[in-house]
Amino acid sequence: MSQRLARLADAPLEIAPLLAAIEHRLPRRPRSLALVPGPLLGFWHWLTPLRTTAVFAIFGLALVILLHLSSRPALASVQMLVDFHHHMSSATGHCLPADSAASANAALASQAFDAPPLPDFAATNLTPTCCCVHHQGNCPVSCLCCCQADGCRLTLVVGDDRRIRPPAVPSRNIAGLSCQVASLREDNLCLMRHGDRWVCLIGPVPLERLAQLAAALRW
Amino acid sequence: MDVPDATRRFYNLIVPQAQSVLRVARCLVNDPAEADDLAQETLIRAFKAIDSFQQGTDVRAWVMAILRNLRIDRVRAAAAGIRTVSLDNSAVDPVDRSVSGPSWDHPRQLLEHFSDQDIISALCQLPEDIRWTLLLVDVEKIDQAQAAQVLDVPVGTIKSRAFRGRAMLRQALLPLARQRRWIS
Repeated sequence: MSQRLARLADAPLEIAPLLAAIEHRLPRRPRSLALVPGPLLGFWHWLTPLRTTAVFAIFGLALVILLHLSSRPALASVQMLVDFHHHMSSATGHCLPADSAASANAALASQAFDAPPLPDFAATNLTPTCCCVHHQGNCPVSCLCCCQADGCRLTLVVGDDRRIRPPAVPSRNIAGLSCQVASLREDNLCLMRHGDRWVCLIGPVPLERLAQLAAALRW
Repeated sequence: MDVPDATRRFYNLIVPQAQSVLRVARCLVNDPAEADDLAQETLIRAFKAIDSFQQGTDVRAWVMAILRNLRIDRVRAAAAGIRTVSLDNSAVDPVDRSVSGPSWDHPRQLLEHFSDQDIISALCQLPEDIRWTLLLVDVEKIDQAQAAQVLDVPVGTIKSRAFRGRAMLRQALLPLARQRRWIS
């Protein structure tokens, strides 16, 4: 409940009318405060040649580290994947309808040209409902929401291993199938790799069921 | 021309809290116009009292305290016919034994189905003291100790109100979930 309440703060409120209503009772907002926070106004007085050199050296080092880090693949986390699942299950925002792998892949490509394509899931007997591309930084992952016959919603997430690594979770052998598994509260995750792609199935169903579905995917 | 320090402090410290002030005001007061007026007066008071703000302390908690005091002043001034419900006269009983049956088997999944307006409407059913606690602690993410200072109660009271409030909120949302056939 506390997490749901916290999300109330995510919805932005327009405060321009509020400020406009009281501006006649407040001092005029100085232009110098439009972009520069107050403490930085005294920045220039603090600088000396030595400090300037140190500041540039630190920024240069930070830039080198940033460039190095930006060339490495992003990392997906269990929490992130579960959040995708909940987002897909509630079908909010920019989800697009999908009724097959082909229509889903077409819809995903319309959202992001580099979205990894989904495998054929016809053999799973899951009914697709909607799909969308999520991004971790600038790395896309393709998400598809499906329904089991009992109405339970599962989410299938596909990522390109060269751009975004799946979470490092333990491997297990489930009914002869080798896969990586994780659990977060009521949701289970089952992850399998195929070449340079990984697929993760997420939902409130047993791991054995998820592994069975993952094994039924056709690439 | 040098900017007066009070003016700089107000625009740097207080204006960024305007969204939080407005959000809390709208969750406290049913009438949108009255809520906006409450938020406006809070900002005005904050400007007038900006010199009393101690740098390094939590500005959001400071502004919420101003909002709280202003709200109390208005409630006292309009003592007759106010719609605020006291803690002893709550509309939602957290120990309502007549509510039985389905539990929140997948609470997080179920809560995601409610819109923000559903949550806010349910919040407005709660006693104001409980509502304040949830708004400060859960919505605005203010530290419990500071929330206790804002509401002028012990930290233990904040904890118990937050616990009770979340349960009361679930209780308030249950009929809506049933009505929408999300649960049996």
